[in-house]
Amino acid sequence: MFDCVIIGAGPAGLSAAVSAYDQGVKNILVLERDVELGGILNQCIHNGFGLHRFNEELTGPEYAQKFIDLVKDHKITYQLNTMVLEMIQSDDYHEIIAVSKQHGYQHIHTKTIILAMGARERTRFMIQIPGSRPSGVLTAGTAQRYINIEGKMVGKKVVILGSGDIGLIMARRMSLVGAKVLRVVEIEPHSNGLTRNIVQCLDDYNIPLFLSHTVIEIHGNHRLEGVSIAKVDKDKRVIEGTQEYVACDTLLLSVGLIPENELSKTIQLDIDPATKGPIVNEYMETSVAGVFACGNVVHIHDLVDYVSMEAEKAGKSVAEYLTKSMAKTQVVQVEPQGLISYCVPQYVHQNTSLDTIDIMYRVKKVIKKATVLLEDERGEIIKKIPRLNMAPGEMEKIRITRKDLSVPINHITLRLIESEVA
Amino acid sequence: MIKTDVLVIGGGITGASILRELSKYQLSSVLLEANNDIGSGITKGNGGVVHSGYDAHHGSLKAVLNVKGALMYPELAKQLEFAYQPKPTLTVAFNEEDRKTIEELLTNGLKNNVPGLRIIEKDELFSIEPNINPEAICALYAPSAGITDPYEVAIACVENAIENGSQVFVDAKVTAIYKEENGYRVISKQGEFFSRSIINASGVFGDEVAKLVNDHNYKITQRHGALLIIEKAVGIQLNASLFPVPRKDTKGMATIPACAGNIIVGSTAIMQDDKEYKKFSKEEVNDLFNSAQKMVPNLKREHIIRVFNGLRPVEIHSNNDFVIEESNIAEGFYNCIGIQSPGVAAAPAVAMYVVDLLKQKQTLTLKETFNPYRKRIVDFSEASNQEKQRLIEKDANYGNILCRCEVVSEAEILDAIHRPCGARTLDGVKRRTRAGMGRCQGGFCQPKIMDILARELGIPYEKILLEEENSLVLIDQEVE
Repeated sequence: MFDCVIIGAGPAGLSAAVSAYDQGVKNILVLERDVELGGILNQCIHNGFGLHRFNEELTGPEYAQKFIDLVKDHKITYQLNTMVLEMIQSDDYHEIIAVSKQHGYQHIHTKTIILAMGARERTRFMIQIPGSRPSGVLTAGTAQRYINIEGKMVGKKVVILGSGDIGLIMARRMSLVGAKVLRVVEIEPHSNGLTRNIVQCLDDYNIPLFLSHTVIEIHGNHRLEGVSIAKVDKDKRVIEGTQEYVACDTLLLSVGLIPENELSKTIQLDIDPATKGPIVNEYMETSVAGVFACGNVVHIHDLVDYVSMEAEKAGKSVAEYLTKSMAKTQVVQVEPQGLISYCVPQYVHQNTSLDTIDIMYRVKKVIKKATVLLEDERGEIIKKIPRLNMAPGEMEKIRITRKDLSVPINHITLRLIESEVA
Repeated sequence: MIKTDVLVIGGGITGASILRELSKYQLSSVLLEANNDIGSGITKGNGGVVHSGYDAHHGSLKAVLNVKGALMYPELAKQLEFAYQPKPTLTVAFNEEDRKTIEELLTNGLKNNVPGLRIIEKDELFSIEPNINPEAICALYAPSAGITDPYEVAIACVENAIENGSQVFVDAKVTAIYKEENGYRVISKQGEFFSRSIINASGVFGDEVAKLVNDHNYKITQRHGALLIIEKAVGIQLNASLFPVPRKDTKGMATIPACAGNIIVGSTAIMQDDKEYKKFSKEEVNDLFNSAQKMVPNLKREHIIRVFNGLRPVEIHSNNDFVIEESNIAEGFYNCIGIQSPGVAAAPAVAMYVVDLLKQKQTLTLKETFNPYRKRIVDFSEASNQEKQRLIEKDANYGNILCRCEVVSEAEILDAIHRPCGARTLDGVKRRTRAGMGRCQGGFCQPKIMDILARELGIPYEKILLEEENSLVLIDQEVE
């Protein structure tokens, strides 16, 4: 019987493992489906990781290595090339069914589980870009893997749809490996990527960014031959007469990530339709006691640093759960309203064991100036914070303390009053 | 030059079914497929419904072969182990005018001898299919229908035919046919063949292939259809394929419970001149989704994981009927033209019909050694936990899961590649194993499957195709 099994050895799983270990949980097993530890960081060979967590700029593999070294130093056990097929809930423990070439078919028993499976990319078909179905249309992450891990070129003349960070990073990467990035196309009137990435990945390479534009048709019966691009109005409807054909052999898609929770469904976790991840409390515990979750499987993060911090919280919570020192009475729901698209955690406890709780959230649109308000069900303001320049691409947080929860309440809402429209 | 008694041109579900039927007899048979895989033309662009035959016009050849073929499916699926489930079709009426139409369809279907066909009223309709829109008033219930994966039927038939002595060549586009004494010389991309008889089962290219023997009697145009795939595990399990009341020439956009647990919505119907038309439009996606949502209000657009499309060959002089006959220009050259919907349901009956035509000219004797059985590729994801354990103990490659969305193991992919007429492309692997067919559409597993294809087939990684000729995934250039 393990004290804790962690599913996924990307940044979330590794940080959680190290944190749980540091908090005294020694009997840990990490299960990873890929051939090495590190997850998606292994293919993110650009730098920019770790500024918040380590105060230095690291590449993805360097960032991962810091945690991999700790996992190995602590002799935390892990299995690679191992796929978890199912989780089964029992009264006092959980059961995991995992398979691998090396270890065969395994029933693993554990007191706690940390879900850290990450996310997957949205595809061309999920957004139903019309046209034919040639090769040469792929997600930015898959292209990144081909180039950075396999050392293979995916194309020479490239259009990128989506100006999220992965799209921006890949625009630079494709340029560096000898492809011509013709343009980055973004349906929103603003980029969802970090400002530093727009400067360092597009401006520095003279790659044009077409805001309020989208790909309206894919051409080519075998390999991609070109895409039609058009301008859209504020309701994202194509403006007639703005269509333009761009000849290219590759279309990379950076059109969003979705938390990967198919496995979570085998244990009937409650899923938040807004985040598409498990509903969690301030301990990162899901709706099934003893099952915790962290990282992109819960909600999509903008920076890996925040993934690590969230995972460390989950690791610490596992230790508290095992020593039964986690206070969990009187649930207080945290509800996003209006221009706030979601909050994590979705609920907290009035007698929480934590001194402070960071409520992470995202806004639905670009906001120039606003006041963020956290109110309880009586309309009493718990927190009121002025904020400038918020964007859907960036994760926001608001901190509450145990003292804020000291009056008996059941429900708090997070909303935002826009004082200057962008 | 390979000599054979019968040569089939076209490895879609029709040609593959004919080849398998031929392999029952004491004769040699060869199939030539222009694409690099079986079932990769119009056969794959299909909703997979095995229609019962209520709507094929009574008196047509189509009606006879549809009803007969559909009834052959359960036994055939047992022999060949392809995916097939008996699932009724419900043609759903939302108003009294619709009711009149389904009453006409009932009359037509009863004349066609469709078993069990009847109109069911609201209560029974909802007990059969609780997911249906509460505004529905009644439906035409056809219990002899089913669902299948048409490309798998074609692959299974070909594998079984090869097992029984047939030869199959892919990448074998036929470019010329010359009449010679006692038969035909066929020039293809895979070399020359000589055959006493030829069966033309070339789908949308049927008219072009007939012209190679100077038979200009046919003109095929294409009815294009787009289809959607809805993610499985969205909590909606349909018990029946749900059809709207049909319009002229099409059964309309149906909501179909696919064998693997997804929902397929299809298809649109737009006439196209281009025989290689492969596009779908935004309007088609909207029409399909709206039609499905009218039938099953709980469907969500965000659950669409794939859009695909296919063509239906329509012979323009034949009033939408199948044309299956010996050419009146070229003796021993048999045409299967205009095998449009319900060509999937009809395929086994079409095959018997064609072989019966051959029998009118020659005596065919059944082979005593004919083995009707074909083993399918193990579906690891569907196996019970006990079976999974046993499979991995037997072959550790079952423990290496490569496609995480559909839970497909390396062992299944190796089997798909090394079978007779096995997979050589990513889509070939996908059609045989479902690897890459799930939510992420191959984003995670594609590089790994490329590795296996390259290793097992001994071809360079960057030469692996997505599907057809020139559909290279990578370009042949090093990363700078």
